[in-house]
Amino acid sequence: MIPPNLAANPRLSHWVSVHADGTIDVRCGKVELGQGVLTALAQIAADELDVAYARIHMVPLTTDSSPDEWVTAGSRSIEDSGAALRQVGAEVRALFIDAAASIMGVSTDLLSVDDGVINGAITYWDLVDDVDLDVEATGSVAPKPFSQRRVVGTSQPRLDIPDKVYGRPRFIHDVSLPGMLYGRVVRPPSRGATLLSMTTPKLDGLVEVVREGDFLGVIATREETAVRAAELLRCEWAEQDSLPDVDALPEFLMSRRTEDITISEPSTSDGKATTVSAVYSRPYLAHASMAPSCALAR
Amino acid sequence: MSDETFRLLVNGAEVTVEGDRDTPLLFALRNRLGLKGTRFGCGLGLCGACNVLVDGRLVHSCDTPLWSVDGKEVVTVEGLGDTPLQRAMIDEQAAQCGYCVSGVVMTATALLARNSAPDEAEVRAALDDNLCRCGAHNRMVRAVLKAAEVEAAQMKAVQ
Repeated sequence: MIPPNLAANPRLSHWVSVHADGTIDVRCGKVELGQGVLTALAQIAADELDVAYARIHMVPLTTDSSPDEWVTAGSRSIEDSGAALRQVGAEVRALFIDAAASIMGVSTDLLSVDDGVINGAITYWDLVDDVDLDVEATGSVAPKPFSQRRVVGTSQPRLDIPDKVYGRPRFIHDVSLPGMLYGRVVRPPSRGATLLSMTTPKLDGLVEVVREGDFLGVIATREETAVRAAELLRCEWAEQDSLPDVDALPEFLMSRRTEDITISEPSTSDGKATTVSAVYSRPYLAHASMAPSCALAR
Repeated sequence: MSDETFRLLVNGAEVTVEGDRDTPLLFALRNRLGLKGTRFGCGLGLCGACNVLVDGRLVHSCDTPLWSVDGKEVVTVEGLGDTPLQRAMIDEQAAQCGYCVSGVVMTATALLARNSAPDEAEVRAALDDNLCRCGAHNRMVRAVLKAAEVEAAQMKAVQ
């Protein structure tokens, strides 16, 4: 079976590269946000490829070279990317075993892999020129059963933590491009406010004031100038009531379009059952991070 | 806003920075000197993500103007090298997203410099102004306590 994210990015070489020096590059389309996905995906890849965890190098995600796995959200990275990498690992392992079987003149049934070494005789790294990974996944190889996983289920130190502790660039905020300009969004005083007018300050290094409807931003040659310009921009806003009654949020949420799911159908009563009726709700929850939202455009 | 020249000692190196005198030290470090480890969090001196040492004293670099650090010594997370504290942070896996961690490391470095054997309450008090939205605080506290133990053992070995 081919998982959806593999079907969308079917070439094995898009996900995995095996190098003659005994290291393996693994690419995924999920961003490490501190949730530990890179580490978990490396564990999955190591298990299916039958190599030591330390051989796996998770390649930093880039638009050009990483598989397109859409957004990183909804706690779906392991489910989606993990399923794809599990299948990729199983198929790459099978291709190396096929190559070894043909060189050794034996049936693949007789071969097993231990840290990339096939039957103690020939290694993945010996075979990099014999195995073409630039092929599409077939879905015909089954990943390992749960009982044969060795790395998944163990607790590995997170791959991203050393960079963070030593202050190495790790966030989109840390990217620096030649001639890069800096921006700040100018926030309205309240939700749903309408921008009536504004006066642009005269400031050296202020490149542009961007307005799209009620969205306002400034662009400058230096970050401090962007901050200053956002402060000095004189805006006239028309504010309006736009928030629901804070004491009636469940009713407000239920008045929106909803997606209704029946968790279970009531079983037929034998006359002894007591019916309990209750309504539960939870407020709208915003997920807020320490890092300010940031984007980079070229 | 007109540019002036400021001379600083940053992580042991003499540097000059051209900029308006009110430019926050944070932007000078990140955007002129390429030291991206110090991070912009709130811009108001409230969250601790931008903490650095100036002449050994902990400051919020986001609200520290360039004029006030002219001729002074600045140490950022990049200037620490590889300390027992940083290794303890890794041992304790003391981060989730990690955006606050540089600031936490600087705050804890300042704490250990003035109090080599802090108790848990003192560590918690010191880290109180470093905001972490992920909930990694308890791991950070354990890491600082562990670092203090490691440093004490190293001192003892030397003596």
